[in-house]
Amino acid sequence: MPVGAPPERYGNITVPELLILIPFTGAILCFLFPEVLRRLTGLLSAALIFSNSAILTRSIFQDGARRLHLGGWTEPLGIGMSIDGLSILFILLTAVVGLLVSIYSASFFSAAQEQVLARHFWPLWLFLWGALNSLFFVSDIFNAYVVMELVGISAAALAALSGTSASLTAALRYFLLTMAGSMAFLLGVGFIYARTGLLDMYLVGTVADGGPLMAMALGLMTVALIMKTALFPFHFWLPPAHGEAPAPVSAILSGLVIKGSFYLLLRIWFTVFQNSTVTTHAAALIGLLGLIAVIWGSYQAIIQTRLKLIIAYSSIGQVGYLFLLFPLIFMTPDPAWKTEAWTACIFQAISHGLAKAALFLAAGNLIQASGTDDLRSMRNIADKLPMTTFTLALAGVSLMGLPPSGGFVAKWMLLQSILASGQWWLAAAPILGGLLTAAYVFKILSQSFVSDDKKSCCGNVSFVMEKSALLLALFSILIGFRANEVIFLLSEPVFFIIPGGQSP
Amino acid sequence: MDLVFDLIIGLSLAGVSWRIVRAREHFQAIVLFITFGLLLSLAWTRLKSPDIAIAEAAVGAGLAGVLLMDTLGALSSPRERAKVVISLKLLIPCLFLAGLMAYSILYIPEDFQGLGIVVREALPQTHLEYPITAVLLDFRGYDTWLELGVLLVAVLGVLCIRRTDNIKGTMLPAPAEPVGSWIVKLLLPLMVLIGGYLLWLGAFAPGGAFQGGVVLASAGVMLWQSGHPSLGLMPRLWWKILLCSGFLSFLILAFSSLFYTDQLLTHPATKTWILGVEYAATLSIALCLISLVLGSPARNHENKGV
Repeated sequence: MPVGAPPERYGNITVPELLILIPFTGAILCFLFPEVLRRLTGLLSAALIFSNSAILTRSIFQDGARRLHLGGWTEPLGIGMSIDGLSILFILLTAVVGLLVSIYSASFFSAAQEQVLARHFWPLWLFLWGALNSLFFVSDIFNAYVVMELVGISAAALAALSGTSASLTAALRYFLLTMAGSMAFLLGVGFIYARTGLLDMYLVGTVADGGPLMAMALGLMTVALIMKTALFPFHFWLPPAHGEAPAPVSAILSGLVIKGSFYLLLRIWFTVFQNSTVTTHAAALIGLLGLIAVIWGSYQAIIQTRLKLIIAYSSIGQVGYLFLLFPLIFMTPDPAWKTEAWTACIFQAISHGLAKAALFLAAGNLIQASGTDDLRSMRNIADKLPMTTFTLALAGVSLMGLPPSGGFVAKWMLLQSILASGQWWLAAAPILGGLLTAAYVFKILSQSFVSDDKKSCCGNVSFVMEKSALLLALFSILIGFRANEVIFLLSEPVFFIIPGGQSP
Repeated sequence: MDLVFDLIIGLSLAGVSWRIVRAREHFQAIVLFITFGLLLSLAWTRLKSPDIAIAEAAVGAGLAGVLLMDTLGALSSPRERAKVVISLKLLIPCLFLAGLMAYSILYIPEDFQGLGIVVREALPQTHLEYPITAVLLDFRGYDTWLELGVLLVAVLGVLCIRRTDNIKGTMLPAPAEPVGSWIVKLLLPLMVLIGGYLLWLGAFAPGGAFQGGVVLASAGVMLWQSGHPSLGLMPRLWWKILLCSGFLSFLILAFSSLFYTDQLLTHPATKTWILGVEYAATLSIALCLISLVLGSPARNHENKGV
């Protein structure tokens, strides 16, 4: 068994493979079945995936990390899958968002003119879900490339779902960018293989050293993944792609898909390159880009006039926080604060995923009620759609980082570790970013309380759609009360791979 | 002598790509691109990778060429001259990046073996004779499974953009100038034979599901080029099932492996399983590629008149 890899456990009845098999089976069945059965199949698969994710989370929480060998071949020959605390947190995030988005979509696509969208939505979405799950289990760099292709193509196809020419343009741009990223990543895989002769992440991590080949590989892979995560200079594709898609698709793209490439970036930096010493300056550069993204994305969100574009630009800002992790890990001397920064960043990823999905679903409610997502159309909605307004407010609270939300825990821990690390310049991100976030959240909310008698708002929104958006927003607040469990999942013995190569 | 040959291939590759960038007409660029694909497949042969060479010739030069030509036909003014501007702002970073890569390649050890030794040692356990087929279908079957998924999702994506669920609805009208049907009558049986032969060869020599599937796909596209409805004749459900067959056979293998072993995708120790999966994969690769070419939303005849 490779050093540093999670140990194998036997006698455990949970089957992590089902998290990949169920969505893929659902996708194939949705494709083969006649249209009337697709919604039912999709919902059934979503419920099954959710319950299996919950069971697996419990198993990892109690028994620690697990390792699987596909086809019975051990590394370096075969492909492994590893499931540790970090994977399981993202799996659980995907399960919660996925289940509620599926329930929402079942109602959202039921209108007659949307039927044609539902036909393509279910197979693509289940494929994407399966690909995301296998991405979070990934333990092999070439396999990571293949999985990313699957995620990228199905996400781009979903982005084009609404069929308007604006969405086609946005989806094509997203597709080209994600393909360019995949090519760069593949080149990086080639360089790593040429240097080490290995593909398994944990094995590469034990033998990786410095040198031009590894430096080049790290550079290529990092650029590829920050392109896909929409970090600052590569953010241009995100607002049109996420803003033009139908609401449930936007929630999936913004809440989950960009988290997938970020997760892989964490794996590459802290598993594959854990022992190489080439990364300090790169870490500072990424941190700087993250800082710019927080300020630029939030500022752009303030000046937008369409609700979905505000939410999309807010994603750019909120994703920026995640990248502050890199300078904090590599420049903090004290291991305890490294762990704190690490936890803060994962917490931010999770609470942003939940809050952003809630916001996009609420925006979808508004569009269905009033036909547009122009901010002015939001007048009176506090009267007519109180639950949607409440959802917007709750998710906004989590984005701003007010206590006791998940966003608060994330930003509080982030600020603490920034101050402890002595990297004062980074403190601008949580402080200034928080203020700017508050500005655009209040811009949304202030419109909703303006009463405008001339305008007769609005059509009806189904109960299920309002409730599923609200539940997501509630979860993004409530996750703040479960900080201990998250911290435990990110610590030993559930999490074996120590950030920065030092014990926390 | 080998060195001279390699040099010629390398220099012509660089030369052809420069000509593609500088080509003044789209048509010329496409023809050069097809040439580039053929030269590249020669280069793969020289690198002792016959599998990739076959795939490159069929996909890079063949199917990609057909797709590009179709796109050219769909452009409103296909003979329009392309503006060839190479901006210095882009050229310098590109050259810098290329230099960095070339520099790092010098650090690859010459006697690089990779996982080749491990694969050869484990080969007897797989009941297969050809290491590449063993890697693709056994050691790293999971990757192959997901790659088949990528192909399938690509077809789903095209159908989603065309907003249809049926290949008949997406089918482009047959080209105005059909390739002479006598040449199709001559070539078609031959191509099916070659596709099958490549598939059969995969068990012990270069070839296999992907190469065989690509040749079959070219046969299907050629049939369509000659004015035949090709895939359109297939009943919808059968078309869908065969489209999924490769992915589905891996899925069935994965589910059944859960019952008799701890690890996903473990084969029972017989060749039959692997061959079954490979045959299904060939069919679905061929069907996916044909559907991608035929269903590509290049020409939108309904909207042309508006």
